[in-house]
Amino acid sequence: MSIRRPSMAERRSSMTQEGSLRPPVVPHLAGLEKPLPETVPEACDVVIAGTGLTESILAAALAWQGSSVLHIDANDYYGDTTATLTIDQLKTWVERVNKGEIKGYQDAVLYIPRGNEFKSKDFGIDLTPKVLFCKSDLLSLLVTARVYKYLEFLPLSSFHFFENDNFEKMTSTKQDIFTNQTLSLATKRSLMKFIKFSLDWESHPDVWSPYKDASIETFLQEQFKLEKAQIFELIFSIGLCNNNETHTPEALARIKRYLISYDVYGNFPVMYSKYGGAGEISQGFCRSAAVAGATYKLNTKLVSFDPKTKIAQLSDNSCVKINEQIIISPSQAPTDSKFLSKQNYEIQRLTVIVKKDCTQWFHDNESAAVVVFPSGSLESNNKQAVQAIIMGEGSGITAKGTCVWYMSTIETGKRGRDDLEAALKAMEGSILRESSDLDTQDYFDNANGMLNSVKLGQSFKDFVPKEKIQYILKFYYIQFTSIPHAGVVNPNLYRKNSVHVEDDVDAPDRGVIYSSLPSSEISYDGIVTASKILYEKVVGSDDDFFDVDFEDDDDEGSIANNLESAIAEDDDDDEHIVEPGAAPVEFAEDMEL
Amino acid sequence: METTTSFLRDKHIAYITSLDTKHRDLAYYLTEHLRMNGTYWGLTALCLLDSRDSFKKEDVVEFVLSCRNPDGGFGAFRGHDSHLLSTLSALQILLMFDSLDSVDGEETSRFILSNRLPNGAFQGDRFGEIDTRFVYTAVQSLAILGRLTQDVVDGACSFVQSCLNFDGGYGQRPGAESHSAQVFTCLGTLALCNKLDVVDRDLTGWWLAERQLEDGGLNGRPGKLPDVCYSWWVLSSLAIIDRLHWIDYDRLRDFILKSQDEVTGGISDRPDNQVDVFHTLFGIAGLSLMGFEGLQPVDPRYCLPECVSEKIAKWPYA
Amino acid sequence: MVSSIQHGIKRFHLSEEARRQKLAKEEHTIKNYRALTENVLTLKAQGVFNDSAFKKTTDILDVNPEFYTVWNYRRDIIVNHYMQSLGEEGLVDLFDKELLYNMAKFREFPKVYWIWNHRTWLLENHPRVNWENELLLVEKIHKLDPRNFHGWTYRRYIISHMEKDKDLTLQEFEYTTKMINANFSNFSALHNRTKLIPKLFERGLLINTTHAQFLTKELEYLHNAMYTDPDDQSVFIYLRWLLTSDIFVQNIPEEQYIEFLQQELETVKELNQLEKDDGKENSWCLQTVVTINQLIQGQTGEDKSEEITQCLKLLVDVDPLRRNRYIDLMKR
Repeated sequence: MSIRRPSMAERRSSMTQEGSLRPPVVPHLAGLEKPLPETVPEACDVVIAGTGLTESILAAALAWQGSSVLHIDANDYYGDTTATLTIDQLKTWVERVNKGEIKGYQDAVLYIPRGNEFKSKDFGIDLTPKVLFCKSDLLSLLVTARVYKYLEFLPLSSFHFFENDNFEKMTSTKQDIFTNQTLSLATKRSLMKFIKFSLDWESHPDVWSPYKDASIETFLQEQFKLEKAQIFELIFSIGLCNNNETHTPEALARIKRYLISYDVYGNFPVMYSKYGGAGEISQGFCRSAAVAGATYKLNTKLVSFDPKTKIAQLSDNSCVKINEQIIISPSQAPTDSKFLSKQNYEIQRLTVIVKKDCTQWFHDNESAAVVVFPSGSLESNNKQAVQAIIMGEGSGITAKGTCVWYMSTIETGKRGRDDLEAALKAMEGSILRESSDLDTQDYFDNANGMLNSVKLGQSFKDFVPKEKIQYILKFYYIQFTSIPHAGVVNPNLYRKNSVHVEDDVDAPDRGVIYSSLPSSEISYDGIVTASKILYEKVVGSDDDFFDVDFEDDDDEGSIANNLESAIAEDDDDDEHIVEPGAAPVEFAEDMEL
Repeated sequence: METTTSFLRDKHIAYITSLDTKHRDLAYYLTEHLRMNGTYWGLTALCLLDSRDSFKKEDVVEFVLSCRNPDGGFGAFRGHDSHLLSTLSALQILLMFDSLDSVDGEETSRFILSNRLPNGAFQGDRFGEIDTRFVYTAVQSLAILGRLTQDVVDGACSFVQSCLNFDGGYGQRPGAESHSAQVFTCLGTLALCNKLDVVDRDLTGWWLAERQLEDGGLNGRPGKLPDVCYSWWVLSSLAIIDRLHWIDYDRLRDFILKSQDEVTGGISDRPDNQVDVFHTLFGIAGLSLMGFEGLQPVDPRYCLPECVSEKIAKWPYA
Repeated sequence: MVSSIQHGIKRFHLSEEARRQKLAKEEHTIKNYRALTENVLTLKAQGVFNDSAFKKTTDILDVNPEFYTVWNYRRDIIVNHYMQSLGEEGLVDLFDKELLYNMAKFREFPKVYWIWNHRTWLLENHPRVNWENELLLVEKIHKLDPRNFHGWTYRRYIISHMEKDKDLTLQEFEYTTKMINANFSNFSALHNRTKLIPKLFERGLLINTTHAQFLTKELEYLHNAMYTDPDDQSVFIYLRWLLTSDIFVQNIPEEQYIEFLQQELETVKELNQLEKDDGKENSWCLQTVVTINQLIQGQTGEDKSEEITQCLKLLVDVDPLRRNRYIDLMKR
């Protein structure tokens, strides 16, 4: 019944699966398939500790730039704070968090009911679940750095938001607005007008600058005469804002991010990587770094660094001379570290795996959806939004017939946990309603002789579910970060710690640069920026960040190869059974005369 | 709108003449099936640039004649099958080089007429592709040969009119959506057949004028991207019905000039794309129709220089 | 002369070195390609029609799917060899394989005329065509590019064959609705609607729906699009058809038709007013006001020239690209 999670190496040869956006050409890989070295080099330009996404991008960028990079990780797996973990790995992780061994996390709770038929490896749970906007800096980087070739991407076009105890389908595209039968003609016009405006809002300061310090809600109300339902949809689903007080320019930038991502690769705004999100992408960059010559060593952490001699001592008792810099993820700070920056911001996460396929939430042939609970929409009267990413079996991270719900909020303390639980309850109620076997007595419409199907948007206040959702896992934790919510990474965050002898002579982390823990964004935004800032700290400028000229003549190659094989032989059946798939294609007009 | 780019006359000439020197490029061989058309595009562009002799007449004529098949038609290359498209290009080239007497007009028109269908339309070759393009190519070919007949003219015009849509545009065949290039082939056919009185010029002119987009370029159908080749299809159509001035010349000129490759010469479908000789001709021909850059005047009905098209006998024959 | 037609390909220039490398790499390929071409054209000239020649045409078309002469030769081999030697089952198999091969080419080159033409020829000669399959193929092509006019032409062709058994106008009308709901700027779908609606009436396919009722519903549908995007020309071009098409003009009582025009004039003016309140009058609204006024004038004889001229004046400023057209129209 269950699907085993194939290893990276196995997956490489599997080529495209249906619906996958991965291109068919996969280059030879060096790097991570090589056995990891027994010992580390005696000297290198840069040591990076922690293989989270920011650090992995940095490692690859530096390696391609020509620096010699030693990339270590205290764990026995890749990914660190952005890892994708099996259930067994998750158990260990929770224990270590609660023992204080992994910095930046606390209050981890893992609940796994007894007696299910699944195996640990049936699941790959992201510590930092994310979706990828189709027009974003990370996606561009994946393309320029050719890292996309190691990955498979799947589309996600379902964004729901919760209102009046209901899940509403979004109205964010021209066709949604056109076909939506509940909107008045005037609202259709206003909404479309706003959407057109937001695509190019920066060049119309006359419209928004009077609302520079006002909330987006006020702006949309006054300037575009939109109604609350549309406003909330724009703020929370499209903009993925945490609350309706978000300032106008920030919210506009977030709304635009979504809208410009539509129709880049197809009729959906975001994608996610199969078999795990940030964890897979981190590994992709590690592979790229390894191809460029970076050395990898797991199970290894920094013990101490001496900024005077520039020698780092590692937990495997080796010493490395570092020519340039040492960069450490806060999660892997050495014992007794003194200079760890303040992690002022809190993110609470609740992840559950349910024994239901939840296909009701997905768009045709898709396996994931985003659900947002706006401010005030939950029983707990939440102030901050709860954002949820839902992934079904097609995502490759969960067993057949099951579904992972990743929920998160920036609400703090007990309120945060209450909000998450309330969101969970709302989702549970909804999915039971959607998927319950309809009682034909109640729902059979005699007049029409038709069975009414229950749609997502319908309210069933008196609905009493006959079944309960079965949990396979429930997992809660608090994560801290130094990156402000919905904010921009501040370069000062990544300053080099004291190198002065008089400052904490014994501190093991003098002279290191700390990277940051993942932000509360459920998109990948901000990560490339963070990597670039760190890159600049090492190299001095980010001008040549991934400025690599990758040989890429696949097209010509294929013509030539095609021909080679054609000429070599006349034989065999050339059954070219190619189904026109869903691959997006840009067509030009043609006319010959 | 002021443009900083100037018209790169010399570069375009150099670009067009360079194309026959690419014998080491794979693309040179992969495009043999378009060579006759390509030669026509290149030569016509050179004529409009007043540089016809940049092509060596003897070589070109020899090439054209080598593509002639026993059926009287011309293929796109030696050994390639006859087709109405390459036959028209061949005749146009020979006309431009005053070498029409080197072909037997009787045989060639027999090939053309062998592709005539009972409803007055033409197929491209014996395999039956139906398209108003072939009606136009057949009619112009016969016109060049001075062999139009009442029967051919009537059949062609009635087929063309059956492709007219409510919006004033014409489609590929009856029932098909209006498309600028098909509008050109249909209006061109009617013009060569002296039958423009059937056209509602204001209606067709409206649809054509709406092809111009904010960036100055013209598109082929509502909601499509602009493309330099429509500078020809749309403009020539407007010219044929005396509505050329219904679009903004300066903006279109700007769009065409922005599509020039400043390094190699040549013009592309739109700014920053790869150039080719097809778009180079249609960009230049568009500029010529609007009277820019001191180009030789082009005849919108034939896509030939006026000094060449004036040699063609006009229907009805005296 | 390299005479390929480049559409939508980003411009690039190779350095001397890169060009040298490219040429060196291509040298071998060119040699092989030329040898293969010469071989095939020689066989063709000799009138050789056999299995091995057929396979060679595949080899060439795999590299150059626009080589029309080779497609021709391929068809000649089918006619002169396979159609002579194979029984019906064998032929069905051959044609089915050929359709698959052809589809593979579509996928790569959805706009090459020769490939489309070959498919039509195959269907004309196929002993047992599965038309339903062809219809599915068109849907797939339209998923990739809903405007592909080859696809639309091909669809109408398939339908005309299928309609030998059963009328499909209603189904086709619904198909256009589906396409329009997915994107109402798809003028290809709107265009097809203009061809299908008259058939719906002519063939008596609309039960209990009068011309006026149908027009009312269609206008309502269109208003959703007009309000969603008042700058979309597809919608207004289609509106013009609805208001001028014989199928409605001749089948709706004159008074009622004039009422339709009056109402539509109001709707369009209201929309233009909203646009004006937001800063700028809308050129399509203004153009439509002109058109409807002309229609009313034609029907009732009422002098509408004042409002028409006023709109045309506005259009000169609102839509400067076409100012000369408006100036010309004012003179009439």
